[in-house]
Amino acid sequence: MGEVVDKLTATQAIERAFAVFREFYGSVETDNVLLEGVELDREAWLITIGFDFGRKRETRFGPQLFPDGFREPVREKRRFHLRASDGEFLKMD
Amino acid sequence: MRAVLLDTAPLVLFIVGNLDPGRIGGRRLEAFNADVLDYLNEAVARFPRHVSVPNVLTEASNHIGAGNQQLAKGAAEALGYYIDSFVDEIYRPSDEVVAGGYYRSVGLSDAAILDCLRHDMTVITADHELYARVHEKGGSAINLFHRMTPR
Repeated sequence: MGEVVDKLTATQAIERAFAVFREFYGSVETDNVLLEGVELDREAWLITIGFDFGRKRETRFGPQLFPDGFREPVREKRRFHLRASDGEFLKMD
Repeated sequence: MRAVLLDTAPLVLFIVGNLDPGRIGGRRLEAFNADVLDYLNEAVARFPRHVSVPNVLTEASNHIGAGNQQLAKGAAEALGYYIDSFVDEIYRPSDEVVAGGYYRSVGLSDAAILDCLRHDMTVITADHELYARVHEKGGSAINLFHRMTPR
């Protein structure tokens, strides 16, 4: 019989990932920070967090002489790998 | 009349979670909690119509299982009842979906969803890439995980 290993719940893993996110990005201006994805991959929780970064993407349309358009924030996503058994941060991609 | 399309994971959560809430957090439902099921139920109740594509229904059936292998007792029957009583199925042959441009980057099920997207349809998903692509196409989508963002 295999050993039963307790795992963090998804809610615990999400809380941990946001704590790690704040460690990385706490000093940077971010907006609209949202949980985007949750996966359990064998022994690791993969928690994807999305956020609007300071840069803006410009979309232009209309004639060159009188261009029209809009600027929207660039959406970034980071995936945090956490060891499922204890929430240890493993890597970010 | 606005319609909702439940992507595979939300559909499995909707069926199994309502049938046996104790399964939330278990196999196939590891990523969810009871709060997000409440939110899903509230969201689904706002739509008078349900639509789906065969690819999603097949994936959901595979995840839910059948016979002795069901995620929860009666889950296969509940999915069958949902399909029979509520879902308007949208069918596009796979060769047309594959030729449609999305298949190579998102796979057949998501490509089928994107292919059948209409202005009066909202996709509820747990897949942030599908969510983004629906928005890129000017459609409406809800990513269930947004609800689970810590406050």
